[in-house]
Amino acid sequence: MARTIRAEIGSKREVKMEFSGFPGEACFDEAERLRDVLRELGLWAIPVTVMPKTSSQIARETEAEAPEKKKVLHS
Amino acid sequence: MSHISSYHADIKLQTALEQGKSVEQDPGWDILNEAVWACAEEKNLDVGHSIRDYYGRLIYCDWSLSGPAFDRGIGINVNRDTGDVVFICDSYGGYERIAGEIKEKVIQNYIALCVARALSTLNYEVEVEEVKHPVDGKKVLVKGVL
Repeated sequence: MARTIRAEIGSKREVKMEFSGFPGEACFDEAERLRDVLRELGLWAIPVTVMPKTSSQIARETEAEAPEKKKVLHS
Repeated sequence: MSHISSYHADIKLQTALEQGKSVEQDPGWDILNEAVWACAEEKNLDVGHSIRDYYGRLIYCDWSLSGPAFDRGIGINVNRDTGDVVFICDSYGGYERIAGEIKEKVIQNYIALCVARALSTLNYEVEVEEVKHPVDGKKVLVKGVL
């Protein structure tokens, strides 16, 4: 599964970021790296909420990414 | 594991200042310039370096945005000592709404440009999309895939 970051930027300085496809705790490290790069560019992203995805959310993402199974005819 | 987080964003151009350089050499300076011009294009405004107050007095600034329906204009200044970004406008007489809209648009553009550039720096393939939201107004979606 590809590692994906989706950022939704609202009109009132609020930014929602969704991290998908990161193994283990890697998404938190990546969020930290991203925040450091943003800060260098002059953007200070102050965390408001951090919500780990539920197992069902992760399962849905994995299902969506999984290739469709091939149908085999049994004669 | 993966997660969803929300942030409040603030602009402060400190990278160059921390390296003993002038704020004009900050990477955020060019991004702010780009954000201002993008706002001007979207809202059909002119970019300049001065605004006027209620009495018609000229006030110089790093960037200004003004137009036929908003001839006083809104100014943007970057503090040379702290890197703080300050919006200035004499909104007396019913200009609060338009000044607020322009300010928020410049900031939204700045955030979107920063996120896209940061993801690109981290080697992500980046896509940017604008969507209209019925309640929250326009949102910018930035997607990075590694």
